[in-house]
Amino acid sequence: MFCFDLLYPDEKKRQEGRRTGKVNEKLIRDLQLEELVANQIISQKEYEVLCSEIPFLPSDREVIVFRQEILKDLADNASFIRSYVDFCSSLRDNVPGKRVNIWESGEPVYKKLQEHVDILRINYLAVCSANLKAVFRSKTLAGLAEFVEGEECKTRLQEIIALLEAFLDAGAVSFTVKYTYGQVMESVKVQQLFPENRYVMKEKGILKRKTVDLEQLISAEGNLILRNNLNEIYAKTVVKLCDVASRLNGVFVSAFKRAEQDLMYYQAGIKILNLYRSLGVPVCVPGIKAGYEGHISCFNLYPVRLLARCSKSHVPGCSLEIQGNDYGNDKGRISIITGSNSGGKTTFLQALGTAQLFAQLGFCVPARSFQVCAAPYIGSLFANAEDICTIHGKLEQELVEIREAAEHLKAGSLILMNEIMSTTSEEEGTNLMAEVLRAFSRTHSNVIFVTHLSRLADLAQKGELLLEEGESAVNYVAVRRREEDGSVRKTYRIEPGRPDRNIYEEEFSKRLGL
Amino acid sequence: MKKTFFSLLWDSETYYQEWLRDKETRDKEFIYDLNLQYIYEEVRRLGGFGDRYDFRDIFLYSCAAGSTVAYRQRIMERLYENPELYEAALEAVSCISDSQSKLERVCGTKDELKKKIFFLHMLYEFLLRMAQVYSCLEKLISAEKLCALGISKAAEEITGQEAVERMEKLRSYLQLLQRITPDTIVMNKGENQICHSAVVWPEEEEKSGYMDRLMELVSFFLDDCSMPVKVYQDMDITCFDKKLQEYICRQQPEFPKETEMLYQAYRKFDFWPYIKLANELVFYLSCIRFRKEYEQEEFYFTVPKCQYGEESKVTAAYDMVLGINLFRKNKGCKAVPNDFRFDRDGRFFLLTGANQGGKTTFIRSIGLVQHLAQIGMFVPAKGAVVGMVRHIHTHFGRDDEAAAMVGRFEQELERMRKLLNDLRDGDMVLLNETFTSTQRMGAVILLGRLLKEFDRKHCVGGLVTHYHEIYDRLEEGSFYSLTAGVEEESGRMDRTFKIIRSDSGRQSYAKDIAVKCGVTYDQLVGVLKAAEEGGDLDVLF
Repeated sequence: MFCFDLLYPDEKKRQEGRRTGKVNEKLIRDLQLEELVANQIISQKEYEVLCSEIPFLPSDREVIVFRQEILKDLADNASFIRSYVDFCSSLRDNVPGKRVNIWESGEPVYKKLQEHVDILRINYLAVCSANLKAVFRSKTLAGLAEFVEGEECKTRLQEIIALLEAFLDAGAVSFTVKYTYGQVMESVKVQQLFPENRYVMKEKGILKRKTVDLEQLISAEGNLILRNNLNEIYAKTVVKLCDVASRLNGVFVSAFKRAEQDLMYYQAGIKILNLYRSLGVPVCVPGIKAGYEGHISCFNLYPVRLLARCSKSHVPGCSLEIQGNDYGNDKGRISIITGSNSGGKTTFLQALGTAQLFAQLGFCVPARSFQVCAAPYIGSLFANAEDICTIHGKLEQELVEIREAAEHLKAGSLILMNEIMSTTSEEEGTNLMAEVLRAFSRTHSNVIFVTHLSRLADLAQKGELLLEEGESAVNYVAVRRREEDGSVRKTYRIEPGRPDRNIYEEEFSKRLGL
Repeated sequence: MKKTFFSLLWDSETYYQEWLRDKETRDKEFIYDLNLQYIYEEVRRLGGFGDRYDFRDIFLYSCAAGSTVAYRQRIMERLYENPELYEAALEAVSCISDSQSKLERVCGTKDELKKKIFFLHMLYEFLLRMAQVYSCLEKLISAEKLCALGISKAAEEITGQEAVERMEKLRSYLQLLQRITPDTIVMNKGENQICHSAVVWPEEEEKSGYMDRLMELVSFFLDDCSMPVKVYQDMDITCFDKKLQEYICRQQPEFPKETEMLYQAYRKFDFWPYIKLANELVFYLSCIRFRKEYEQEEFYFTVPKCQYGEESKVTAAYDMVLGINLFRKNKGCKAVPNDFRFDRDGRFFLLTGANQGGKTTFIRSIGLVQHLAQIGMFVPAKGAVVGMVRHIHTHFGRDDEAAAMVGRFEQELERMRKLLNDLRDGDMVLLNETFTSTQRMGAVILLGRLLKEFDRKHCVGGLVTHYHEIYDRLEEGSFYSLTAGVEEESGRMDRTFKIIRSDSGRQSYAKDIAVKCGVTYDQLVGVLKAAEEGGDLDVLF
């Protein structure tokens, strides 16, 4: 009854898709997606929902297209998410369990039950007054709207509320008390409570006096204690009904909140889309090709991370300073990117990774065009700080991560590598990476490697990497241009080209005051 | 009563204030790079004093004052060597901790009479225990002629004339309470005049048409409607308590008034200096427990001799963090120790050589020994003479920071710039694989210039790097070269983890590690095939 699945077209696809291992654990961190929330593009909640879905990244074209359609539907019905969120916000969840202190509270416990009934009534009214009418192409969205707008749910809720309210009258309650006193056992049926106790519902006017036989059973002190305990039992019974009411309420609310969570996912996608539009960068719905040949082709792709920062800076024309780049792997699936520091290499790597990720999430990407095959696995291998909880050095940690990536690699995967193998000598680092690239080329996966290992780039240039037949490596470089005045300027363009041999140590020395 | 201040950690209030100011402004990279937080957590865990006490700042921020370090060392040694003193300190902490817990409970009690009785009872126990403890602690103070700030004033509060009178009044009050409290409450007398207690519990509810209908409707939404009734009593005073109070007040009508008088007289007793004392003792006791625990597992420690000047000589030092990690995996201390020294002829080393040869471990162990010595603790070494420094500066490789607007190399430059800004003559500088995120030649030139600057400022320390040509380019200065040793064994290059003085190591022997991790070409091909076929990857590795 309460299953509005906005992420998968059917249960079978959901079960197939809910296997993790589609991305490595560090991918979100390496792509720095948290910039989206740091720069207030999406909310923290939306970011958390997004991060919870990324490990289940769809690689099934049908699922991706399903999500693209829902995203489009929601983008076209801009007010629906807002209305749904308003509806969910008007739903009252249970008050976090304050213990009913039946000895010290001045309030009768039936008032607790009254509170729960009131919450149920509020939610019932929320359902009655929700306005979720919209015209959707998507059947799933249409079904959700129809359930809320329909009659069955409302009728049942109404009747439950009526019955609970009737229970507030103590005349509906009957219970038995059994107590033990030494060897004596006696069952006492008590229908009403002692009127002189302040926890009793005097207001209902239905109570009769009933006492326990003093001579046979217990003394005055015992009677006092027993009487207090009977009150406690009554109160606990009412508390039990409060529990039932609160569970009912919880299930009801959580079903709708679950759908709200899925809508948060799409809300993130829509907000990211709005980011592109607000900055005037080109936007496209990625074309997802069938199969897993690992095709990637993009024109004028912008880095989402920098767009997010640009948006927060509120500097007019800021986006004009961000460079879009083109990329295609028709000449080779292995790309080696070298060049001067802070030339945009890592940003470009992240841009490609983010675009591939977003494409498979069903989101739009900031490019004039973006055509890809879904990657069954996306992995990132970025240089890290040393892990203090291990006895292994940094190099070993990196090598272990490479091996882990290999264990998940399937044809058409995407591997992003950023400055690994820098913690060994250049010669040995080059030799190791050459072997890794050679091995990975066997899976016909895309490998994009940002590095300062210029010898490796030389080997790629000369075609001496011994890659799998049909595979080749292409060199890219972060381009610097010499200006007329002799200074050298970064362009942030990443273009195919020979490795840049220049070093800029004077510039860095000045920065350190040396 | 004037608030007393005394300290077992600071021999000078002036220096304490200076240390506080310095702590706020100093660079904190070293905490992360030397894994100090990790060791602190381990010391704290083994101390076993829970979350109530926190000596984090004392542990993480070292002293540059020789007298303070010496002061702490003396106390540490005495507590370590003298079991009686150790037990007395433990008892003091336990007493103060118990009293803190009871104070918290007292504050939460709603019944006024019960609160006051409780407080007076707690105060009496506290003073009694502290007096017993003090007699032991006094031996520590007089034997060492320690000028612990105000500790003699605290002694007056526990053992002085006023204290004696206070104890007497409390004792009398509690004895009275004992006399008038009955042993049992009689609820009823059965045939044998035996006391029983009443127990009540609910039986199953009688079903009515109403309830059936309710459950049927609810089952549309819920799978499981039956729930146990939760039984609890959320009260700190039961009706039994109340009965007791009434009984006591009937027996001794003046009792509530007496309670009130005594409570008003002592409610402002100042526990704060004792709580502070406990916090300081916990630092020492935790360090000692840590040492004893690991000594049982073949680890060794020594009390360093700290002196001013550039000269240091440490034998058989090891990286405590590595030691702990190895211990947790394999049991026993397997970290290979190394010696190091700094003197006029060799203040700064360049360490090259095999990957996983123990280079980072070595440089970290130097930083750890220096730091632990300067907080007054034992150090993981067999012998240590340590030249004190103002600060330890570190520059180890880091992750790319998301919030930074610039690339990784730029971030490294910025950290280095801050380091240089804070650098003073004679400081310690430890660099680990600095500037690997740029082209090799540029890094070599830059590092060369940095090292000259460190030499100019008479800094001690070292640089771990794979850029072996740097040492050859250094023409002058008090530099020396170290390498991570390897031995050939059956065609394999085994790491000895010994750091030796020698020319720069030109090889990193990374291939061995690649073989070990299964990342050679052949090994990876095997993994890829198995992944494709859905085979058992563990067989291959």
